[in-house]
Amino acid sequence: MQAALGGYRTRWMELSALLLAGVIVCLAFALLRDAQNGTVRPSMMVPIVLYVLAAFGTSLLLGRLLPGADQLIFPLVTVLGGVGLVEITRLSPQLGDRQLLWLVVGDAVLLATAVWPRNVNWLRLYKYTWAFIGFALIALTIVHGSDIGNTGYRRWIGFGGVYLQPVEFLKIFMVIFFAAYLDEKRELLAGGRLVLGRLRLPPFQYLIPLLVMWGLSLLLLIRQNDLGSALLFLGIFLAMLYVGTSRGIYPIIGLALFIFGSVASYFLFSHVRLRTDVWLDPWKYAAGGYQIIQGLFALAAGGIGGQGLGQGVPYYIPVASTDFIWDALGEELGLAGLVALVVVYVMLIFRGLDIAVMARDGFQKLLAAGLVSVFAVQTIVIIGGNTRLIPLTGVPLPFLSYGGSSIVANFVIVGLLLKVSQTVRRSAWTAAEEQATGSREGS
Amino acid sequence: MSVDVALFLGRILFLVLLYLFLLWVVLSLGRDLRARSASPEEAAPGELVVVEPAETGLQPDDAFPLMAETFLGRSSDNTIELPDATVSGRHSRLVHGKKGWLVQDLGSTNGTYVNGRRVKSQASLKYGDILSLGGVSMKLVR
Repeated sequence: MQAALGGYRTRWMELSALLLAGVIVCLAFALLRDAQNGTVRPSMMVPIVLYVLAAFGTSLLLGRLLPGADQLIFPLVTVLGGVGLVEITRLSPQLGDRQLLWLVVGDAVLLATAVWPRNVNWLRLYKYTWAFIGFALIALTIVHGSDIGNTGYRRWIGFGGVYLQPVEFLKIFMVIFFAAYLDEKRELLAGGRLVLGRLRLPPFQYLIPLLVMWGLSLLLLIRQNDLGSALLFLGIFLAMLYVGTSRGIYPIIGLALFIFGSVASYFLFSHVRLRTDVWLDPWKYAAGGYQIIQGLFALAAGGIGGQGLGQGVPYYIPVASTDFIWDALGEELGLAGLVALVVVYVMLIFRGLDIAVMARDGFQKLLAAGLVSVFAVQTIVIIGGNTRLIPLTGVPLPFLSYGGSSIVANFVIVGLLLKVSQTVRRSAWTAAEEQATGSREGS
Repeated sequence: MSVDVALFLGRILFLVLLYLFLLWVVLSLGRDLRARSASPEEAAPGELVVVEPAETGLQPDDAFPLMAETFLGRSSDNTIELPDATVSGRHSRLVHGKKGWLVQDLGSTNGTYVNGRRVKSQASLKYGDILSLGGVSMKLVR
């Protein structure tokens, strides 16, 4: 297994897809500048070219670090990041420059994850430590946080000018904890025998630590008025419980509890009530409904083909670069562009679930499924909120929204997914066949 | 060509390229799925028929269907369990790939043999070959 680190394989499938991705985002950037200035000045292309070069460099280094890992996830992510970068630059060049920085840092973080931890299973050894670090960070925001988004809640922690949103990292820690715990208890119940695809149901007392962890994260998030993240954690929790036990009853019970909880919080918390009322009839609430109405106007203005990049007026939407990036993109790219982006997300999620299905180790299976459900739930919650399908709750749209913590955390997730897929591909079975066919792999 | 026309064409080109990218990803995905169509849990063509059961309690002519990856050994977590004193806990592994069957010795005490010849680390296995693990012998048939 370790010998794989010594080998190098050019990831052609990834490079070819990246080439196309690079052309797409460069063209998008050129169109944008064109509309604003009437001309394209070559110097303006520098940021996007840097972004594309960083992606190519990452792919080449991955050929050394994780030669056998999945080759489609990174190009998909690169397209999303690039389109997001273009739209954010268009909304605010200043934010765009920072987003570029975060994306490049994200690529570096992806490579760092590829190197360390060397073995993904190392993570499971410290599951309570991870959960504790996650909670400690959130608790720190409550006592010593900053409120840089003017949300009225202190969700950020600052270190020398850089502000982090710990909840973005808490979700990774929680997935690691759930995966380690569920896998461990399953082995215990199945008598130390790992049964693939047929994971046994733990008795209720084994669910208590899970419920405590989830309840604790929920309390912290409610304290921070972070409904979107609370919803995200519920989604992750139920998805992993389902994958871990293959019992459909869990999502059903969870959904019932969720409906009960939603109705209860509608009456208990005024902000939940406001959100719901605004969702049902945004026109009645000038203050709360303004965002969503501007978002809907933007989508309507976009129509099928869109106004064209740089040619719409998406800056009328409040918080367009974070919570409402989907509607801003809808105005400029139209339904045609949005459908393509939804397909990109679907492929990303499909690929992640595929890694989970193929993983041979119980912990890695659950880890991959949990991490990919982070993307899935976030995408559904925020796109649904933007299009008024469900009440709006602010979570970042993975890779498209502006936000350093979100981008970096998402690249950690991609790194972990690639690492799991590397062990999948390098399973004993493939290795034996490669050896037999005289491949130079792992010399 | 006026700027408006160029912008319009650029817009169309952007969408076309975006969909081309998706098409490319879908094609790569299909290629990838086909390349690994034989998964280790799938049944693979062939059976092992017991020739010499030794102390395993099996009968001659008992047949074991094979998986694309099959483990043989004395302990119960093997695909094929051979409870005989001369067989190691995890004795050998059979792998089915594009070039047919491959047998690997997993560091067993008494060795893995193909037609009486000891397998160093791995050897190919043809239909009709006799596979021996310690004192137990089985024949690979189609």
